[in-house]
Amino acid sequence: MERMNGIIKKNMKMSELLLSKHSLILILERFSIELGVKEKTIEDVCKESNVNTEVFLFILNLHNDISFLSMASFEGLDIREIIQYLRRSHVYYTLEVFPGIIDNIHSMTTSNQRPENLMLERFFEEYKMEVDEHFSYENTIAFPYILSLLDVEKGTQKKTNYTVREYKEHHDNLEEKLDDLKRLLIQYLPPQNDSIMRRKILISLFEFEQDLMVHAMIEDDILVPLVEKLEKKLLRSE
Amino acid sequence: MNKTAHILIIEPSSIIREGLTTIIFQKNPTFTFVKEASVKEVLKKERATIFNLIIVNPMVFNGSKNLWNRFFSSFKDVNVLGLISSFYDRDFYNGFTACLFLNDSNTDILLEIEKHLTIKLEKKRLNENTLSEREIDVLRLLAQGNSQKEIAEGLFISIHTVVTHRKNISQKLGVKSTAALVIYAVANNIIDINDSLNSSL
Repeated sequence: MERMNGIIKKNMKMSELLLSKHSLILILERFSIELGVKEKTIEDVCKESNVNTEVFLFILNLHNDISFLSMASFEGLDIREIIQYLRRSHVYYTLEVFPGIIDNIHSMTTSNQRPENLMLERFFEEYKMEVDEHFSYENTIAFPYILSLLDVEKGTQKKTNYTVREYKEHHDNLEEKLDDLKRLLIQYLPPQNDSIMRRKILISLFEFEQDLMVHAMIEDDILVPLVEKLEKKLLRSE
Repeated sequence: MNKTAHILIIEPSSIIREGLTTIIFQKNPTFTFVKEASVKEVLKKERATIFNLIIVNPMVFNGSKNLWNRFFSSFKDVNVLGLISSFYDRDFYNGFTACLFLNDSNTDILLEIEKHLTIKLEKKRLNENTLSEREIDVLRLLAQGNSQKEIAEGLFISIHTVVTHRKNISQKLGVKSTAALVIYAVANNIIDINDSLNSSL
């Protein structure tokens, strides 16, 4: 995987950045930034597209190299913008990544009706259900709670009994099934003239895994600490 | 020490990595090592490997609690020693069974390592991924939808033994979930599809 050396800064040309690391193009999409960026700097593009430059740069750098987490402070990053980014990522996974993989698995099964293929299809569907549940929890419980905290801060809302600790402890073991899927496709399902399908599925899985890892880092190592700090602050002012 | 052990070392500096390996290897030529510079690589490749000891430089977590938790939950039954070359957040020290410091003597280092090697050394060769006959028996019954209790009764072994077999199967194949093991069993003709129809996936 190509990696850009050094930290991405706001006065860099957006086009140069994307040309040297194309996987970052996806990040732009999640901030609703359109391509056709001419000679503009990252800062310019953010201003024009009404995007929070600090959050954008932080997430961009994190995707470029996860060790950025230990190099920069995330204090003061806008919580609302972070949640918006996470929500957009969920949409991408649900509407694009998973249907794509399901289609390819289905093609595999249609051309080769062996029982293990049918089971594979069911296996992936169950995995998808687990992932959907996780997203649903975030979208309907964790994120609304966090947003309501921001309103409490403003004085427009009363506090609830939920705390971000519940979200923190709501751990899944989503990686296990993903690993197993990779092993089955690469090692244990005997060759059956479907390598092209397998290749498509595997590449999607590996990309998804990488993306999800950074996604989880944003949730656990940035969002949760920020919210914990906010909760403490609100507790003190009671 | 003349037993064998499989040790994982995660340290970005190749000087320190190779130096530590040499110190241990010179006293224990039967030990085998996996050496990596990052946690990501380890989680990619070695999640299903059984190690007798892990030595890791806390710097590789980049302060990420997420990465820390994922790492520790993947290697639950092993002692993890911290390899310390500077000062860190107290939190990260507390997670380790013990710490090795760069200015420790060879003797001290070897003592700490001997102290924390997990006693249950695997008899299986770690490069082997063919299942034994017994393991195939267990896998077959598992894939047919039997509970661990039913497997134990069917094979006249203890539940404890069934659990061990199950762990070894997962480790050899690198496959953890039961559902995936069933697919493996069907794809490799260990069971017939009709047998697995009743199994709860």
